[in-house]
Amino acid sequence: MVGIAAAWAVAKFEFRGKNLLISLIDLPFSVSPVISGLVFVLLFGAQGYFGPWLQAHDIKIVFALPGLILATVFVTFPFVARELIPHMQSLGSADEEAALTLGASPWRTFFTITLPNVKWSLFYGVLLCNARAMGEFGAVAVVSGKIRGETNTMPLHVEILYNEYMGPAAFAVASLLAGLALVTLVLKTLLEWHYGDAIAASRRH
Amino acid sequence: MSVAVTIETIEKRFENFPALRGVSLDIQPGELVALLGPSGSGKTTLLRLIAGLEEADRGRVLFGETDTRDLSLRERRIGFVFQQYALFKTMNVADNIAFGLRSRPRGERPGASEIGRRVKELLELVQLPGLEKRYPSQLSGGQRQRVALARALAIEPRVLLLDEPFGALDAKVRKDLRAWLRELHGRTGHTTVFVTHDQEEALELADRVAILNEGRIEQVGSADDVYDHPATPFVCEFLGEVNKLPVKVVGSQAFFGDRPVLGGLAQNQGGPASLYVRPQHLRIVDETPLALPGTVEHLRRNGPLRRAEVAVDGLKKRLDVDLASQVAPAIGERVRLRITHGNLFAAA
Ligand SMILES: Nc1ncnc2c1ncn2[C@@H]1O[C@H](COP(=O)(O)OP(=O)(O)OP(=O)(O)O)[C@@H](O)[C@H]1O
Ligand SMILES: [Mg+2]
Repeated sequence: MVGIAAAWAVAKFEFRGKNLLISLIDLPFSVSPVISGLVFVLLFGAQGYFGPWLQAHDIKIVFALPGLILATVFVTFPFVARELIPHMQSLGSADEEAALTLGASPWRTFFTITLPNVKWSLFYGVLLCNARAMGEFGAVAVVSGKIRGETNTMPLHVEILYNEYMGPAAFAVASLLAGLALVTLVLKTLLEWHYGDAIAASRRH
Repeated sequence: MSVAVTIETIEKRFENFPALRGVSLDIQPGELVALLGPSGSGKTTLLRLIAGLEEADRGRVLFGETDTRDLSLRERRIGFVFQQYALFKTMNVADNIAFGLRSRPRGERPGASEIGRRVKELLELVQLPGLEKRYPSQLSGGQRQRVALARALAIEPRVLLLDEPFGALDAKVRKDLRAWLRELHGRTGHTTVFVTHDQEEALELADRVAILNEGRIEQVGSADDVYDHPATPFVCEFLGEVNKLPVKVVGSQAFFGDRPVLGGLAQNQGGPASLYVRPQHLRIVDETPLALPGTVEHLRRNGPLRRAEVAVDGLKKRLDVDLASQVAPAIGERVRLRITHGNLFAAA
């Protein structure tokens, strides 16, 4: 969702700080995941920047579920945004403007015109996102604290099991992960195939 | 249903570029006005301002007595046809046309069967019956254009705005659609503003033509007004081919060098001036007091017209002369030219 919003903002509006936003989107690509995990801990951890405030309000981020989600979002949302921006830009805003002059509300315009127009890129982005989320290790490992059954992701689980010399279990989870990765890959190929069609169709216009 | 549109001293800048510089225009209810001008003159910008897709820096647009700044896009009830049609690719023709009706607030939204009936009616109006299920990618350019128009008409607009409606079509289709649009306008009577950079199209189609140049309106008037009595050199040059002669006005006569070439001038505008003469207003004559001698250097054919290029002493550019039904002169022949009509503009 963050990705969609960012892509929309970048593609549709001209505003001050737009370039800054674009660089921010690219940031996760260029920063090592472990570092970004550390940054999160620094920001939100007990001794961190927002730490005291968070503790005062009894909000747990690091070593808890929100931390996991935050870290995952941070490393994955550029995939959605990056996929969507070029597509939205090439669409221009004529379709949206047409809808608005026909009396559609901005919400209706977004859901009936903008989203269907970008649905292939969106799926694609979400898929890449998913793939990354499944594989993400670094950032999540630092933030999560690896509390089993609570703040754990599959790659982390593999590592824990492996470290505990539970080889077979580790391999079982690892193959599950590999299976999921394969499914994602197949989906991605299918989509690319479709998506290619969609691109060809829009060129015909 | 149709409404008068009043445009009052609109200014619009993009960053530091002035796209519109004090544009005013009164449009009568039911009138068909063409905005004509070269690329970049601000036609689309003005149209988008009327539609409410762009905001003016200064000035305002009125629909009837209502200031459009007080109206939402929906309340303006604009039928806008975009330069590139902007049909919704993911919807078929029927859904495209029905979009505006379905977007109405719940209370005013017609029922499904009523919408179906309206779509059918509109498709008949634009002469595309039976194409409901097609997708935009399955239509020809001319068909897309008409679907876009049907979609705009569906909301019963108070003002119809067309941005180069025929710009992307070939010459033959353009001409057919031109006649068709004229006839459609006669039947439906919408107040219509229509943008074009094709002077022929503007002159043939519009009740009045507004000529834009660099963000200013140079002249507004009927086709005859602007063609026969251009207010500025720009209008004169933009509306058709024209020969330019530097002259000097003394009394009621214009002199090229020391030779009088045009008489009976009413205005008392002595001094240097430019005389603009269209090719059809130059005739090859035998002998008259007001005539310009020259040599035929070239002959060519331009559709139904034959044209001679005549070199005149003291003039760098050869004069274009239409040969209506006259016997064509030979190349190299000495001829005399008489100016039957011209427009004088004082030299800047
Ligand atoms: N969004 C924008 N940002 C910056 N400049 C703009 C913008 N829209 C238009 N302009 C500029 O304003 C001027 C007028 O543009 P406009 O689109 O109104 O021209 P036009 O008369 O419709 O031309 P054409 O016949 O090529 O469509 C152009 O010089 C254009 O570069
Ligand atoms: Mg334009």
